[in-house]
Amino acid sequence: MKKGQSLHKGLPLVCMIFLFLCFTVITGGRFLSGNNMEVLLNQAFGVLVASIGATFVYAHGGMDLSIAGLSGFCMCMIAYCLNYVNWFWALLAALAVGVVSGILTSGISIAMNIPAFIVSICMGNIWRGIVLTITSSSWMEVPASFLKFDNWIIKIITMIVLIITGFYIFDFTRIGKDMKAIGGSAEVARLSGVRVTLEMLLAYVIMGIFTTITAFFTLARVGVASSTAGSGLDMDVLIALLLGGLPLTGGAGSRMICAVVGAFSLAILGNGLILCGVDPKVVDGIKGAVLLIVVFATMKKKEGQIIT
Amino acid sequence: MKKIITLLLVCCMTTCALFGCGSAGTNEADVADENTVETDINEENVSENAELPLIKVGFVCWGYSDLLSNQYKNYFDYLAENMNLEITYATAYSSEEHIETTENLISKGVDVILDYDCYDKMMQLCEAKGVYLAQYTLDISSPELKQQLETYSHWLGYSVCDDYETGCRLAELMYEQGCRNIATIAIAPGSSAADQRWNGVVDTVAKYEDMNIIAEYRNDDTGEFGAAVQNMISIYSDFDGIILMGGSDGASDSVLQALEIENKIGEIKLATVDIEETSREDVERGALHVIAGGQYPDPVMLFIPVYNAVTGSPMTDGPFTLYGKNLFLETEEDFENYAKYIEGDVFPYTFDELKEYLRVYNPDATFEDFAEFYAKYDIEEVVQRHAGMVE
Amino acid sequence: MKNEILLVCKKISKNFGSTCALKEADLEIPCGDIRGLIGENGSGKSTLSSIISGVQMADSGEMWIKGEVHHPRSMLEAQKHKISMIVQETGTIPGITVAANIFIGQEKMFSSRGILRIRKMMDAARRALENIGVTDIAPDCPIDALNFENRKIVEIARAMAGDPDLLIVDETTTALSQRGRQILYNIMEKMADDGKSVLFISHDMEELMQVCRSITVLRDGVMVKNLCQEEMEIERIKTLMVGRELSGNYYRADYDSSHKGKVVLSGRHVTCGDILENFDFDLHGGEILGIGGLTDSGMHDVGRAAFGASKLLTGEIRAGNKLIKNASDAIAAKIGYVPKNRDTESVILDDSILNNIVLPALKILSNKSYISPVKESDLAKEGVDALSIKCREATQDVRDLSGGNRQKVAVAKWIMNGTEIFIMDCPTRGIDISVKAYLYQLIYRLKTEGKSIMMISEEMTELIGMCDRILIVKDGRLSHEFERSETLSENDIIQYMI
Repeated sequence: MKKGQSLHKGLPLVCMIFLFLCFTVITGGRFLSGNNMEVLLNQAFGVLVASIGATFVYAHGGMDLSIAGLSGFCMCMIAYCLNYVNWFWALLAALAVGVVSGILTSGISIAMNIPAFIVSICMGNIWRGIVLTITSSSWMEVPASFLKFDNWIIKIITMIVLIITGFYIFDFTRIGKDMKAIGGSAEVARLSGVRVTLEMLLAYVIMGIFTTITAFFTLARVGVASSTAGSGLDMDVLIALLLGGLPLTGGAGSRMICAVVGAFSLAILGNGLILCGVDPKVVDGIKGAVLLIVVFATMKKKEGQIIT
Repeated sequence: MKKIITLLLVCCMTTCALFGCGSAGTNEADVADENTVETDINEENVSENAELPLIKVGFVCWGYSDLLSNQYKNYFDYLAENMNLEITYATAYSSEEHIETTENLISKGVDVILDYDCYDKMMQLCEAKGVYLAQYTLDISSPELKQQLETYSHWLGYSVCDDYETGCRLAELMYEQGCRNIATIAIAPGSSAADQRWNGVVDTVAKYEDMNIIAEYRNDDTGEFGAAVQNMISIYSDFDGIILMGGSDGASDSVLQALEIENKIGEIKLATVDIEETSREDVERGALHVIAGGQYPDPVMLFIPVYNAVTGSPMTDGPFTLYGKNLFLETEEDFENYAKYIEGDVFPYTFDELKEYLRVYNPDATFEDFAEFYAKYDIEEVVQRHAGMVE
Repeated sequence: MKNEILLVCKKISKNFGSTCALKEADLEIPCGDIRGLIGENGSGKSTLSSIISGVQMADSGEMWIKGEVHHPRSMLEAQKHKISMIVQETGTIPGITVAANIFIGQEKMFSSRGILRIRKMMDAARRALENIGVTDIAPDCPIDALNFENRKIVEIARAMAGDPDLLIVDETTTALSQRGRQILYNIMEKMADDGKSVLFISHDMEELMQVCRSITVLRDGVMVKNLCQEEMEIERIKTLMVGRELSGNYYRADYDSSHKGKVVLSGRHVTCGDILENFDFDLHGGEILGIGGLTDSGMHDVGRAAFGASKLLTGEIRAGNKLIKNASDAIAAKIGYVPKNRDTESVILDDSILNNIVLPALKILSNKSYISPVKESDLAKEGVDALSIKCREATQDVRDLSGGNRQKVAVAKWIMNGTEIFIMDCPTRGIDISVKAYLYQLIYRLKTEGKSIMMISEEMTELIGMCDRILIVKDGRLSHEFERSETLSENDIIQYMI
């Protein structure tokens, strides 16, 4: 039993390392070049940051599909603010938006008794609609001074700080443990004194904050906020977490490492498959296959046990 | 036990999937590693024109599951056979994805990237690594960006369909078919293709004294077009034509449905852009009267001057703009020809015809000649040019 | 016919990994017998019944039904030998109708040329239900619309629809009300009278004594003894199960129902749930207060209300001076709640013992938001030791534990949180005897330490044996109050319940 458990936990990491080695061999070492490593880091960064926040939501059994639109809107917001204030205040303003988005998503869900992830889909559409309206006449550009944030040193430091923060809150404070308890059984958690609705709200707020940080750096990288800004982030985060071994329904099996391993796995897959020159239709098939395998292998067998 | 088997499965499946992929040619330019991996060697890639240098191209599209992107891919594969190209096809939609894809392609070692939505950041990355960049099929998103891009030495230019011209032609053809009181319908202002076509129509209609635009409708929700048409029918009794600036995304479906309900099929003529699977049928039954489209050679045509620039003999002194045309289909015969000559086994421009403009074969080829040649793109023109080549 | 042997099992062995569940167990059931099968958790009784019914295959050993070799690889194959089984958990399939459930796997009976004749199936379903004495369940009703008990009844109809020769009832009655049980007892009697047989598995010894004609006791995977009708006697059975004399008393020895006098938890005019109305109660310090009644009397809502787990329509709950409105208030007032539905309300099955025990105590464990894993681990270990939870380590999932040990985890988490007032709803439901005994002793010890316990239970003997006072709830209202007394009997109580 113990051996099986550690294998299950280790599988996503093993998978990631395996893919890494595979691509290195197939591309004859090109995959490992310094330039490519920097590319990988840049590509994993955005999804990684958002996934750290998302872990709190998924751990309690929720899902947030508003982050694509929210990210786009934050990018527009920051770009707009940069015309008037410096980056610090722009970031603060965007963080406020992220917090508000989380409160709205969760609050509407509680008030109207609709599952939060459905509300998040609606919120996502609303944000996307706003982005489309804002960018319909022209994209929002940022002043050149802002582009300095697209710097791998700053990103590595930010990444390390956020990962440590995420780990700390998730593994060593009430917040993380409550999330996992709610994911395991919301009713048991409630009857054990966990303030379930409050914690769920907190999770979406955390998600909003991390999404904003992702938007900040993405904006620095792209240089403009276009109508497609942020698109696809929600699915990327979901797939990254699953690739990292996070149980879809959350609960005790959720770990922060899933976000890290998953985000890098996703970037490695995307980058590696292009480097190998794989036919694009097959790319989707491969990504799907890898995902299926990881999910299947890390799935815990729940019901169906008549004999204990 | 289950876990061990699964782990083995992961390894096998991923390895097989990666090895068994087509379209990766042999990487001659790569370090000759003893560990060479057996990627499928495309027999087509062992090209007849082995004296041409191997050029690595990155082609970025929004996806490969729709008709247009597949047409792009087929045509490019044909070029690749003949020109010793190694093409890596990639997908990108959002702004971040375009940049990521660019990075990945550069990392792969391509010589030139063709994308349909370019950003300044992409250009910076390309310039830094000496990779050329060109945009196909869509106009550059803003004049500022256009200016910005032109400051880079590795920016080659872009191709775009002459939408203004398309709009003019649509209006002309409708006039020839007898329409005098038309409605113009499009998505909300902001898309340059739709806007340009709109302008073309308006200006052309203004030229004819006996032709008028009696109603206009713009809405991003294409499903609403039908309701708008029904309203127009009830208000205007002499309504006889609709020009729809873009028929895809359910727009033409919506309009046709409304015409069906009101029993005006054939009475109110319809002209639109973007050929769909049902277009032929619609023309045959008299519901659709002019349809513009067939623009898929666009990226391939763009590639000709691009190739010249990449192989060291650029056709122009700076970034160029290549204008493409739409084909206009009005009758069943047009569709027959379209099926045979445009979508058939022979591509609208064969390699032999294009060779004329490749400086490796014809050092005197000029951009103006090429642009002129391309400007003649029309159903009759292709039929004439390829008469005898197709059954 | 009566003296023929229906089922013979010889030297059945089954291992799960390194655990030996059955060791050459023998079983012989004659026709017309209602055989009880009892044993502690881990004795192998569930394993044995699952092998007979085709859910699992034995590692070695042989079985015969009416002289024919019986070696089923699936439940459907076992059904061919006319063996049916009803289980403890949900055995019906959601999303389809009652009739579809009854005839699952046998739709061919009603298809002609590939088309399923629904009406024929409905009629057959109606007959099947009538056959077991049930007329108030509609065959076309979607199964999800029925409550747990009625779903069980549908399951019974399904088991009986095939006219089985051997019916296996695996701990089904614990979750049934009197009505459900009666239906089952009637079926069992009828089968025995018709020369068929029943294998009845239960923890409830009174029930076994009442219903069965003979009893087989298993212990540690081996058949220990077959008792015929005359030999059936509760103390004897207990001894055989445990392998030793149960020392001391099962419940409490004393009849001292004194308490500290102070009211620690009170409810006034409590209206809650569907039935409970204007209910009052007082729980004193150091007292064990029993709440009894029929399942639907509203007794379980008393517990939920007292913990603040359900919204009150009228009335209030107070602990001392503090108003209890929700679970957080209750926990802050040092109240703990062990709900009736263990697996869905009491413990998180797919989480570790450690996390389950530590959960209510997280607030206390936080040192300015930091929770030390060492402190968590210590607390959990204390809990495991304090309740003698049988496990390899505290990081095991609760799902791996037996029912009794799961209940220990449920109680441990409150004890470790410094709880003073315990609300326990059916604390010994579905638990084997040694854990039951342990819990009774624990509850008594808590009382002597000055803690207060509200024990809600449908087992009258338990209430009589353990409580200082008993409140009987009937139709949502207080029906009667009893004081602890040597002469108190079940009959006294029953008349106030129904």
